[in-house]
Amino acid sequence: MSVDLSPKNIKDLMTRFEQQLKDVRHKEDLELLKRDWVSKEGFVKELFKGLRDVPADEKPTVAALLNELRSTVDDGLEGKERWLRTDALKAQLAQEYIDLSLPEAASGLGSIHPITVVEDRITEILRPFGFQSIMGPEIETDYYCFDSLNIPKHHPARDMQDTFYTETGHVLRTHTTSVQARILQHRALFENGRLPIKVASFGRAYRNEKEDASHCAMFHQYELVWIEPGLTLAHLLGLMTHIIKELYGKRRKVRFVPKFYPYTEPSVGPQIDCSVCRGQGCPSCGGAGWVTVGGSGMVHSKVLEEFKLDPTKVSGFAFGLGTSRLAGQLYNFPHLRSVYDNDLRVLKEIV
Amino acid sequence: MKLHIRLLEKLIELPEWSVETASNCPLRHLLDDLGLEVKGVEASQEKGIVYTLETLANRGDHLSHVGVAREISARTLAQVKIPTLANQLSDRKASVPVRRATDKCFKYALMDMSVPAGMALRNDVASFVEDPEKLHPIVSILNYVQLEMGQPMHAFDADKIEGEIIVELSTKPEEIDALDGKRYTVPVGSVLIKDRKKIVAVAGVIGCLNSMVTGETRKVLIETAVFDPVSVRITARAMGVSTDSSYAFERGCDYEGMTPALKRVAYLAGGSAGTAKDTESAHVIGVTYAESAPTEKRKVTVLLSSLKRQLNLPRLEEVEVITRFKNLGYVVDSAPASGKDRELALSVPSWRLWDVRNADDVYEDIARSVSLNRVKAELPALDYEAPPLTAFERVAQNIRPALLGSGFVEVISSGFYSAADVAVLEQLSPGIGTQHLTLKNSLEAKNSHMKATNVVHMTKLLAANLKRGVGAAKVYELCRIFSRPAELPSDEPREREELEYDYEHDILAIASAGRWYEGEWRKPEGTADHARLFKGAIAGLIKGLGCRFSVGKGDSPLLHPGIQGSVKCGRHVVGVMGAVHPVIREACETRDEIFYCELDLRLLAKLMIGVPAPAVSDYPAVWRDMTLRLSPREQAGRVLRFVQEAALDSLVNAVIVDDFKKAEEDYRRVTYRITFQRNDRTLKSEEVDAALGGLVESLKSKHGIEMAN
Repeated sequence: MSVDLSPKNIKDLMTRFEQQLKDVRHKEDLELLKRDWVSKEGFVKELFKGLRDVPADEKPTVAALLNELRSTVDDGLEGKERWLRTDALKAQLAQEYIDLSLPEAASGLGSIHPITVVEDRITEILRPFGFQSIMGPEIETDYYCFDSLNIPKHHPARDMQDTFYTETGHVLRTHTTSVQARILQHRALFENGRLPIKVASFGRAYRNEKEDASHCAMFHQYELVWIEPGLTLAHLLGLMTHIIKELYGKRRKVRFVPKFYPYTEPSVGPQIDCSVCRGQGCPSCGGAGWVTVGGSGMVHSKVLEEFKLDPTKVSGFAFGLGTSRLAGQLYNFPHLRSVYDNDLRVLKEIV
Repeated sequence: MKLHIRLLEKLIELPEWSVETASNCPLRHLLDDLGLEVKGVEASQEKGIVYTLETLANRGDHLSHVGVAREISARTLAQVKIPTLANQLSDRKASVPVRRATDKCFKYALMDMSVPAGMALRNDVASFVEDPEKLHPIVSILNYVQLEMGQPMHAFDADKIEGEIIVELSTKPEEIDALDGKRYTVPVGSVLIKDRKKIVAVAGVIGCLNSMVTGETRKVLIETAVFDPVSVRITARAMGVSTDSSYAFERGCDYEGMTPALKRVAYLAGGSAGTAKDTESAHVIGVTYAESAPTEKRKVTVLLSSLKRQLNLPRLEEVEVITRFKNLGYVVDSAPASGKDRELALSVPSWRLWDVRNADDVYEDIARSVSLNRVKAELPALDYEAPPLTAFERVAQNIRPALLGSGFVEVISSGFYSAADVAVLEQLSPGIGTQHLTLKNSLEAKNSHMKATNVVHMTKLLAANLKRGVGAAKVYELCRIFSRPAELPSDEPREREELEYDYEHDILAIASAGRWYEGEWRKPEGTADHARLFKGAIAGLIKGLGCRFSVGKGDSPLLHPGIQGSVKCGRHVVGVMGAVHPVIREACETRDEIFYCELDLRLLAKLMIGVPAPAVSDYPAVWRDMTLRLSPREQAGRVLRFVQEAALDSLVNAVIVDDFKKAEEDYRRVTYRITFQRNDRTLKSEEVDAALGGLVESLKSKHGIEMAN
């Protein structure tokens, strides 16, 4: 079969192709067009086959026109294919929709209890000073809880520590200071009084109280003891201020008031301005504007002597911070009880 | 202690006061700063402002307005105006003789006074005492003098006293009818005040009705004394009573306070001392003293330099220190010490003999009087040798991320159980009640035992949160449980001061209820799915400790018998997990399924190892599925362990991928996917088939487990 390779016909084919291309709306139409124009039996191949029958002098012109036709067809088909893909994607995207404002399906991130947060932060603050954490028993003997700490039987100071007694005649520790007694004794008996002693202990303590919004029979304390020659009251106040400022920020007000604890002398109560009322007085702070967050002091000479330490040569300080109260102040809990409410609606929000 | 500002201002010049908080009221701030914390404020037209003070347990002298004024004086350096006293009492002895027959009474004095009918109470006294209209004026005066000067006193109707006053110890329990209208039993060994026929008062605690002063009384015997604080305390506690008098005696009264107090009474009662025949006012007839020994003269010496060093106040002047000590009542002798230092010899005032014994005590006095907030705080040196973490800290550090990532919230539950809680556990596990340590004196019924498991608290806690509307309730707690010890804690020193207490166990309790995922959007998981998710969380944390996790057969009576297992780390059982027993759920008033796991932290800490990087092969892995017939109650995980332990050298992984039971069959079909791989070459298909065949044969011959058709 001969083909018409006249320039006019080639140009007409070009126009015809462009028209057909223009009418393509679907992928199927494009496939038909490809079959007609660029398949092995397509127009373009057939035209090129006829080129060998073209007189030599016309060949360059016809070949150039055929090349132009092939480019037009290839480019046109490729462009149309791209257009169709884009168009199809647009149509697909227009169909697809997920409402991301609907609730997520996640187990959510858990949270650490405020008391643990406070314990961890204090431990972190103290670690550069070389403090070692030691746990201790919660069921104690009178000796470790009271007698060794210069709290003799029938002293009014025992009123401050309403004590749980077990059926076996033991006590639930009323303060974590009992761990201090164990550590001092251990150093005296098994480590030849090795100094310095820098120990932190924290955990639960118990007081036999009628429970209400601000009294819990179980609460948490963070105890610290540091014994080394040359330590003074100024060091105690310095370290306590450092802990409180690190915990609550530099702007938090701190003050110290005299207290009495039989195992320390002088004894000091650190207080911070109430986070709920900012010092103006509210039910949370009993109207005082200040909240006592612990008890502290220089280790009493009788306690040092009890554990074979010479008070004329060494000194030391100890403090017990009320972790529950510190946590309450850190997270603005209205009262102590709410720290232990275990209300997941609250705890889940604390990260 | 009630502090009347109007009365205090008669004794010392005060800064401004108000009902405001310490931040806004200079007086309140000052009192707080002195350790006299204001715990309450009342204001009335009649009495003016009255603060409720919380005083220090070692400072009996703070229980009076003069004592508070002294503290203020040491701070502000204003002088205390001592209340006016009668010039003298009487040279004569009281009309009733006194016999002091116990050393638990250090000093005793009895003042005889006549009181006229219709005796009037001074207005300035009446405005500060409670119920003056109901009490005899003399009694109101005694109450006032205690408020003002701190010395407790007691008045007897002299006409009701027979023979003499005897101060002696009780040798048998005694019944008394006290002034408060109640009957008390006084224990053996208490100090009693008696006449020849009866008990008229329990020393330092309370008087008896039989010698009470009434409107008819014309002659009173006023008792004042210094009693042994411990004796008063033991008696008062045994009687179950606390009075203003016992509270003061327990904290120690002024050794030399008796005479000034009696002189103040004489002055306020209006009688001129000793001689008056004035019928309009009371007058003193005589006074008898009975004392054990003269008051101790105690001296404490302190170097000025060490005082400055303790407080980190190098510019503290000697004159300031001496003035403050003097205002607190010390007599000070200053003498040169080495270099430019000074040695201060301090004679301790009679009202401080109870608490001032050495230099530490006087440092405290100066620290308080200059203000602790003036002490120049100094941060001690850093160490830079941070000690290693304890086993507990390390295990906690590893556990928390796994639990937090699974959405668990840390909680802190009570350390106690009630008898009702223990009864529920006893119902499921007879004898478990005896493992709970009982508390003898709990004020709250819910705190009668120490908990020996955390399952009840966790169940209650989750039930409460579900009721609050929490959808996904997942919690954990690192806590301690207790058992009745085989070996009781003792005072014997222990060489290892760590976690090892046989009667206390640190555990990790994990529990979950409600949905697993947050939000109401999704359909809640069924029990089986929830159980698997719960198990997955536990598996995650065990694997995070570097341990191999598996679940064995469980035997906890506190969990659902069909939905429980033992949690294993390698070959060690470290705890239990499963659904809480319905009996416990019912007792905790919840129908929701609750999953609970209790793990032994001490054991986990011992088993914990670092997680090494696993060796991985670059050669292709080949897997085969193997479906086995298992009985309905056979643990598929147990069979999985048989597969894992088959010791095939090319077996790198085995997992369960399906568990299916046809209704008509009496067995389950559980499919295990076994993955084979070598590190040195690609496995051939026939090698894998041979290995699998060997495995199937081994399961059949060793364990009687067959392939499903």
